[in-house]
Amino acid sequence: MDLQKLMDLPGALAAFTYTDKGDLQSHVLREGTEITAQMLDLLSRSCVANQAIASMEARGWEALTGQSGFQPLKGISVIGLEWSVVVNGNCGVVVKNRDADYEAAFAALQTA
Amino acid sequence: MSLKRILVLDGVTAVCRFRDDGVVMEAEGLLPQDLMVRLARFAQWYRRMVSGNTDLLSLFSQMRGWSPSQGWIVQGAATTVCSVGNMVCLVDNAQGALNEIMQALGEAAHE
Amino acid sequence: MHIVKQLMAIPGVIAAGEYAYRGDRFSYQGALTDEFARMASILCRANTLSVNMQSEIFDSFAENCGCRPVQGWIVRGANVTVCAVGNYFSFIENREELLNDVMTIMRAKVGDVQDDLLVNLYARLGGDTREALY
Repeated sequence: MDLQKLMDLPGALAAFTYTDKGDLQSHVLREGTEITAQMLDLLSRSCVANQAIASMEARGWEALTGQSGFQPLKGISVIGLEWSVVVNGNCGVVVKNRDADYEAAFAALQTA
Repeated sequence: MSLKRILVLDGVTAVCRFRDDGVVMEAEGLLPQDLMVRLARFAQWYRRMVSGNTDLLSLFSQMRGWSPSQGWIVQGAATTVCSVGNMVCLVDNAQGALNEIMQALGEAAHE
Repeated sequence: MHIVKQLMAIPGVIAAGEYAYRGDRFSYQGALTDEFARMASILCRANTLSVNMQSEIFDSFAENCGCRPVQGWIVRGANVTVCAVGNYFSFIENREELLNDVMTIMRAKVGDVQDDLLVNLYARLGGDTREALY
C-alpha cells in the first residue's frame, strides 16, 4: 500500500499499516501533527477490533435478515470531534473532519 | 459483604466497587488512588461494551443465555482483571483461583 | 426539517432512524421492518458504546488529541453502508457522492455530540447492577 497516496487525501494527517493483530507496521505523519507512532499503534489495535466486530455484525445481519450487500466489508470509520480514522484491511488513514472526503478515503483504501 | 473479604482471597491485589458512571464507591488493596479511579472507569466501560456484544450475540445466534451479561475476565501474562456486575478486581495469576474469586465478586455485586 | 425526513428525501438512502442508548426505544423511516429496526438499534448501541470507550482510552494517553467526544462511525459494506452520528443512524446505498452528502447532513443537523452524554444518560437511569439491556 502506498501510504503517500493516502496522504494525498483531503485533510490527511497520518497513514499507517498494521498486522492482523494490530501491530503497527509502517506509518507516515503530516508534519506538525500531534499524532504519534504510539497513538497509531493503539489505533491499529482498535481498528482490528472494530473491523472484527463490524464483520461479525455484517455476517449476522445478512444471515438473520436474508438481505445482502453488506459483505464483504469495504472498511469502517470512527469519527472523532476533530478527526476521523478510515480503515480497510491492514491499512488506515487519519483525516481532519473539516476536509474529510469519506468516499475518496474508502475508495483509496480498496486498492491495498 | 465488605470488600476486605474479597481482598483476603488468594491472589487478589485490589478490589473496587464502582457506580454506574464509573465513580469509585469503595476500594481496597495495593493500588494508588488514581489507578483505582482509572480501573473503575475502565471496568464500567468494558462492562457496557461486553453488554453490547452479548446483545449482538444473542440477536444473531438466537440463543438464550448470553444476555444479560454478568461479567468478564481479561487474562494477562501475570495479572488478570475480572469483574462481575459493578465489582472489579486485580488478581495475581500465580496465586489466584478465578472460580472462587468470580463467585465472591458475584455475591458482593448483588448486595 | 427533521433529520430523518431530510435523509429519506435523498435518493439512495434506504432507511434512517433514531436509537436510544439504552432500551428498545427507536424510531425509523424507510425499508426496514420493525424487527430489523430493533436489531439495527441494538447494533448501533453496541458500536457507539465501543467507540466511546476507545476514545476515552486514547484520550487518556494523548489528551486533546481530537478524538473526544466521539461523533459517530461508519461501516462500509460491499453495496450498503451504515452511518451513525449521535443517536441517529442511516442505511444507504453505495452510490457516488452519497456517503459524503449523508455525513455532511447528519453532522450538521446533529451538531457536535457533547462529552458525558453517555454517562448522563446512564446515570439518569439509576445504578441497577443487574442491568438488563432488554
